[in-house]
Amino acid sequence: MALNVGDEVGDLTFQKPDGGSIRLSDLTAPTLVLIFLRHLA
Amino acid sequence: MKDRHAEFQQLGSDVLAVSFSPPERVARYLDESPMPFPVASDPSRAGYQAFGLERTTWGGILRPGVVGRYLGLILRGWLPHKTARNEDVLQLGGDFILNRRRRLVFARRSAEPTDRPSVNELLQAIRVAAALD
Repeated sequence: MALNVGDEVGDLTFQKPDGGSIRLSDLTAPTLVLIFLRHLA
Repeated sequence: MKDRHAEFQQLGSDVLAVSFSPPERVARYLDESPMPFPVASDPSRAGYQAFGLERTTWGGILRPGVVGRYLGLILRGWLPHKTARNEDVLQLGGDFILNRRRRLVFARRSAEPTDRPSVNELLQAIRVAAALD
């Protein structure tokens, strides 16, 4: 089931280009803009 | 977006772009087109699925309205690039904003490839989120 406005978002983990990982909790600003891209150019 | 990243920072917002391409592909892309914000990789598309981002069809891409919007972008200076082999051109994207408690406060799942919110729309959504926090 897809997330809806108002839902709490889990601490998703993604891979960094250098091989490390980044979690949403690593980004600590008051708001987070998450942009899911289409294919890279 | 990358030209106006400072406006997001001024509003106290982080930006994270996520691609379904593997990390090495993202690294090569960033070597050619550096971004002022982090770009991460989600090759399993777990994030895409969590946020309900779907794939479109060739019919969805080649609809007259979508083709027309691409032509408009081209007329405004955007140039289409050749995609790398094996890039999934049918995967749709989306834009989301999370507040300080990591609750989803803004969601725009692209209905078709050119369906993205404007930077101004995103900035306004951040202001609203901050005011409600």
